Amino acid sequence: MFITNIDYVPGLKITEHYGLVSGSTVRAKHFGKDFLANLKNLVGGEIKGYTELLEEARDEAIERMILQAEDFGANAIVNIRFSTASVAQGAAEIYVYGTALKVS
Amino acid sequence: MNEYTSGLANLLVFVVLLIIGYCVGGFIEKKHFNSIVERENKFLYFPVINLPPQRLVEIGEDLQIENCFFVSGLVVIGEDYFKRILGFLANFFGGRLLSHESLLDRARREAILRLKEKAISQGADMLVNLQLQYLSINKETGNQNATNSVEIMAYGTALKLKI
Repeated sequence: MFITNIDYVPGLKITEHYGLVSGSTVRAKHFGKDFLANLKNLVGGEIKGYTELLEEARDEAIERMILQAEDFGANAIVNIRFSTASVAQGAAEIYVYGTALKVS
Repeated sequence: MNEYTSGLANLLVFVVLLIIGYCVGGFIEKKHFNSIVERENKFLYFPVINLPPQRLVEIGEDLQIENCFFVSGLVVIGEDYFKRILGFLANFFGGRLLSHESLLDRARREAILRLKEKAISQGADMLVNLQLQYLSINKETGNQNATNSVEIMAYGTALKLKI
């Protein structure tokens, strides 16, 4: 599966396109991690627990997008974009979308 | 008398937290900036641009692309107690908030560095179409214990070139 955020796959020809595919996930903070984050807030700096949490969330959103594209029979997703929103106190939605293509 | 001493104790705790935030937070920030500058110099050879590759070809660059893949780097950085109080004061007076400018600056540079490290470790030769995205975490107004932190994500397409 080719995934790019430019609008084509270099060196390959587009043979078919399947329209928009997307994946999303809503994540809330983990209580234990949040406790550590509050301690960390006294001295500042990177909050590793949150970094891991969001990295996982982004990977999951991309994973879901790939599953959807595979259902269509696509082998590439181009021009992917991320969109995020805080939906509730301490929770965030991560949404990723792109165009599914068949390239050869 | 009792109320007076408890008020004094509260003030003392506030001042101690402020001093800890200023000293330790400042030390951590300085250390982080040193490591950022060091790694930026180390990865200076790796080109990162925010143009799509066809623009480079139009300029006249000879690009022979063998492979491409998606990479991303992200970081979450929180403010310290001293910065939080400064931010609180800025709500009244407005103006530039230098303390938070440096916070965002180091978060952004760290995210781009992580992106570069990831791309290099996966064997890329250059990175095109860099984009940045922000997510502000748990910014509740009116809550004194709110953790103000920002997530910055840098992402782009890594290219492997034919040599």
